[in-house]
Amino acid sequence: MKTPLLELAAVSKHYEVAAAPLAGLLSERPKVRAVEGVSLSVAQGEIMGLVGESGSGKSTLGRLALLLEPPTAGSVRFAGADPQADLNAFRRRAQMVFQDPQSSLNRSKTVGEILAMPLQVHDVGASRVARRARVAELLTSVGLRADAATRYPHELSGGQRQRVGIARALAIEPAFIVLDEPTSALDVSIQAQIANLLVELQQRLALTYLFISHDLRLVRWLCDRVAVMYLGRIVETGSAAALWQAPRHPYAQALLAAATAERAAPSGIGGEVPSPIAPPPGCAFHPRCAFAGPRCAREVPASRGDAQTNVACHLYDGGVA
Amino acid sequence: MLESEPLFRVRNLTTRLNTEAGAIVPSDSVSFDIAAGEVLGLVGESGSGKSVTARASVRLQKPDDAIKAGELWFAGRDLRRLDAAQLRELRASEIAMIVQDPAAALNPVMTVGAQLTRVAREKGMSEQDAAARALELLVQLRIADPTRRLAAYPHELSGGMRQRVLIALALMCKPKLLIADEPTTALDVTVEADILSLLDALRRDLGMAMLLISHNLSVVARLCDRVAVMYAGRLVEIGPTPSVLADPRHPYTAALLASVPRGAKADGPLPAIPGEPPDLARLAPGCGFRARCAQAGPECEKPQTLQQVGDGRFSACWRAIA
Repeated sequence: MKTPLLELAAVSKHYEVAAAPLAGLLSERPKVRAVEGVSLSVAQGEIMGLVGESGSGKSTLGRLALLLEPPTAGSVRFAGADPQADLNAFRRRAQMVFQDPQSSLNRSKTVGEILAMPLQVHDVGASRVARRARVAELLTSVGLRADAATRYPHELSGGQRQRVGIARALAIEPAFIVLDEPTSALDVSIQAQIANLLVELQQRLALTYLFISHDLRLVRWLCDRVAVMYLGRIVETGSAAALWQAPRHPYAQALLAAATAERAAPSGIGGEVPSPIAPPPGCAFHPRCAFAGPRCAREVPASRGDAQTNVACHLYDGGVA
Repeated sequence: MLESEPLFRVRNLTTRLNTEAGAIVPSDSVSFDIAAGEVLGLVGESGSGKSVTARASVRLQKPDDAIKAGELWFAGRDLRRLDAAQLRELRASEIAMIVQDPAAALNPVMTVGAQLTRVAREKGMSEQDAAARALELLVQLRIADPTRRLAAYPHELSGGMRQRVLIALALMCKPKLLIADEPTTALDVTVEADILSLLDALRRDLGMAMLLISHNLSVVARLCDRVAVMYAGRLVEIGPTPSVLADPRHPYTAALLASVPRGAKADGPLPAIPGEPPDLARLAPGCGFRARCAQAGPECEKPQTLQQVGDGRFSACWRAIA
């Protein structure tokens, strides 16, 4: 097994929600359980996919992996050490690309200034001349012309802006990048260009990715392994090929069937995603699951398997009765 | 012609809009038919003109004078000759529309029930009948606990539920044509599957025709009898969905289909379309796709028009026609 670069151990993130005035005096404030006891390891050089529907907690997990927010419980380890010990050093090695380059790029700065900023903050590229050369190099590496440095974000197309977002993440030569829906805001014909660029960069620079997406075809194409999230928990982890061919968790099965359907057909999981403020007891998926039994409402299924391949469902752990 | 008149006939629809970047032509001589009960998909990327075309085809595009030329026939009526009151009447009874973002299309300060019954009341239905029809629709749309939902405000509902309410609103008066503009784009894949299956059941049960606008080929494949592909303000291909998807006759359709990921990255890079969609304000004559087309030649600089290339199939690429 490859050495893990990122290890999340039983990580949780709860947010307190604003309650009615004085309600907090009487009882505990309600909590949104965005992420609940997630363990995940990402090997050096691996592309790990994270899929799930809105509210599943996948973006929150991405932010926890970068310690953009502190976890409520659990631990994050990076390259075998506690990244909290030297947060600045960690930030140099772990970066993020956002979904919407329109809102994640400062509109009052030129592309050159945007790309020079991380170099200044982290004090890389000592001189102004060296920084300018590095900016030109970055632009070329993401398929833009070096003279794009003088342009403002609004002068670029959506695809070009996302290339700038990627170049900014690469500026300080990180080892690990969290990509949160990096192609979702782009046109179909541009998505494939960006996907190819991400693979090319990953291979050339030996990067490790955590790739968050709801596009299952793209995840299957791009990722080595995939974790499926539902209501704050990982329900299944496995190689992209295995998950695509034979998903085991009933939710993963429904998700894949819905994403690959060729005819209009119901998803087979009626109802709505329950509120993460009051998730159902036991397996959070049981009210919508066709295979659920009494045990599913009683007992939270433990994740069975190893760090590479696992599933959290009573069907694979003694039955649902 | 002896064949029966289609429900909806659009001929040479041309629109012009003034933007900051200059005048653009979002729809350039667009023609299509929709038969009663048929679902036509209109596919294109953002800025291809598909939404403007769909809205202008039923004179919903603002400003209305953006429509520069063309014929619009709906159930034997010439839509371009109707005045504002007649158009409003038509939209209240025979043509309905649902949009991508139901949160913006629903009134936030009215309950779901009040919004549904108001539409029917305007049509002269009694309060009682309107309430009964609203309840019946929510049941038909498989909304759990329908009585309670009628009393709810839009913000109390999930995205999928709001989209169902919007569909119910569109169906209150049993329209003959439903225009659905990216109806599932804002939804999760499992909810999308449910909404598409619902729309499919409705068109079968009610015999309702549909114009489905989408950037997503998989959505179109699941629901549409025929598909029209739009690029840079023009239709480049139209035909029965299975044959267009299996054997595209325009290089843009082919490239779009090829760029959808199918295998794994080990199989090689995705066949991406190079370049970017053209700026409509600076569109040169000739094929709009030629700058990105691997097969482009001097012939492509001449204006291209849709021509028949097979059974029910039309392409605007001279190579397909020749």
